[in-house]
Amino acid sequence: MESYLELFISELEEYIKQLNKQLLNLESNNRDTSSIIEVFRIFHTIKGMAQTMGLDGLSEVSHSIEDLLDEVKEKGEVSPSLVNFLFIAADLLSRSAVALRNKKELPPVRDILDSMAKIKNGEVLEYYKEEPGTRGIGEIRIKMEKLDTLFNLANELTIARFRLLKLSQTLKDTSLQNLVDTASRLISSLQDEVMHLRMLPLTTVFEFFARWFRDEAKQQGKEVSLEIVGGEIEVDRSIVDVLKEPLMHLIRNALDHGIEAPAVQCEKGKVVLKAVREKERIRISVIDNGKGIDLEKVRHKAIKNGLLSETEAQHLGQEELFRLLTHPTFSMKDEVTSISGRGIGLDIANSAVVKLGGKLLISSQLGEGSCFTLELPLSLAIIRAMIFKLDGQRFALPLNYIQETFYAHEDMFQSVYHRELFVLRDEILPLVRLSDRLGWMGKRGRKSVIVVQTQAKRRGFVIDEIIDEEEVVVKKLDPLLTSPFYSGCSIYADGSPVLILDPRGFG
Amino acid sequence: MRVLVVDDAMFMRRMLSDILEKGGHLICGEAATGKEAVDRYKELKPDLVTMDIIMPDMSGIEAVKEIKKMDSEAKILMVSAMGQQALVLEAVQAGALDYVVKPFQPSRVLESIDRIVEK
Repeated sequence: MESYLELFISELEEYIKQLNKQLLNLESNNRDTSSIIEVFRIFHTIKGMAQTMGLDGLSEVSHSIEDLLDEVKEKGEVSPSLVNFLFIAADLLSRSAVALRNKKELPPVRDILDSMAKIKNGEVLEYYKEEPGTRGIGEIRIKMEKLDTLFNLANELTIARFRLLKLSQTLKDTSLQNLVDTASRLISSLQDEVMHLRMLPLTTVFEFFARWFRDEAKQQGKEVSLEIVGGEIEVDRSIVDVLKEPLMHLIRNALDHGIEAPAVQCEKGKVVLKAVREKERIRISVIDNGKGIDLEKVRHKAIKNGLLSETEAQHLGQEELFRLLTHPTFSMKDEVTSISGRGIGLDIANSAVVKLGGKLLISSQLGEGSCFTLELPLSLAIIRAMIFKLDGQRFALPLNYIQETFYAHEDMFQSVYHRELFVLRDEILPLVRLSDRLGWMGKRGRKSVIVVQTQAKRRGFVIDEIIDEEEVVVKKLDPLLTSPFYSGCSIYADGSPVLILDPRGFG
Repeated sequence: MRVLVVDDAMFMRRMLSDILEKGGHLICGEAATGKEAVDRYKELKPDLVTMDIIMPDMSGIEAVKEIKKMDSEAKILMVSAMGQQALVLEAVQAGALDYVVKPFQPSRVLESIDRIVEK
């Protein structure tokens, strides 16, 4: 069946196009019988194809619509509210096609089937609640690549804007300066607008969990409800795309580890999925009122799993113990369950948010519940970074990797088997001389060290001088210039380019 | 057997063709509308036609009638989606010899063809 999938999707996409065309026609002429028949035929054909592919939800929706249209066909007229509804159905098909292409779960069909049942009973649905991603009149669909191109062009304009500003400052011509100021303001607004175009409401991910959670809880025989808050908050599409997996792990964990089976449950189980916007960041929390995390048990497990020695474990504070939960080999559950596997969920959720420039925060009170929070930037296009100098050249390092910084004279570096290291508060910190690795000349003498944490590695990046901490607009590197050391580039306030380091690229 | 495969969805035509070829038949042509099916039948004179029912231009049932007018011996297998019993019946009255319902089992399609040949 897999080999037919590509053909199925491309044909489905083609039918969706035709469908939208016919529906637009029906919107202006609701008695166009040839359009009505055509719409009927399209749903019929999609039904047959979906049945053959074993896509039950899609075939059920198409089948019900076909039924609905059978009557309409005889009347020779379709009501405006039904046309509106068919647009929504067409959008469901589009989202399904996208999901199939991306090998993701298909969007739920329950709402649309429910509405259809109501329409069949003669109810007029004037205000069908539009799902996110659907569109009304006055909206158009744009391919993501087109938006990306627009976004890149806006970024290029921003670079030109910096240069223009600088040039006009040196030329000191008032009329030129005025013009440049106006252009500069317009370019800023344009960039803001374009950035906003890429934003999607979180409901796009959250809506999936409502149904999924119900089924999972039922499967585990747990009485628990899911409350969703803050779905209207908008974040960059690139973040929405990758949020589902880490969230699924967190919600599974809450269900599996947090909420007790009914026999030992004192109050009704509740999981809250909540998003809050804080300035340029967003916090998405999964909160449960379950049994909470027993820190002593964590300590004990860590020793048993060989992650820590007994003395080490005794010295760990609450926060470090919570962080242990994100270790790849750590699990709190005594038995492996089919739901959250071996407890690798937190590890996956953690690395997913770090990759996005965010972090996973954990808090818990024994007997009261736990809260796992994904803290993320609203957009991947702008990140907070530390700007530093190496050989007179500026570089940026994303702040989410940085733990601390300090000055040190080169004489204090120690060398063991040609490897340099630094003893920082009794901890051995391996050093990476960025000048050597990147092929630049570093200055001698006093250096700055940035302590960087990637996955399980903590290292000191040796650089010349820290300049500032700034928000930078991330631009993709030219494909010819890609290197594992850099994740992108940006433009510094004075218009000069800055390469953004990817610490994961340093082995 | 030389088979003409008629369905408005390319996806379905591809799938049916694969099943038939694996069953040792030869696909001599394809058509995406009823009208095209009639034209292709005239031109190719296939041993058997698999015919979808709901298609643009001319329905599968109309096409069966047209083909039967041209060639009363024409062997036609209807391939319909679920919930079209009335239409299938109409097609059989018009001269189709058997039918299979989507989603079909490959073995069911091939068995049906064998039965038609025996008829």
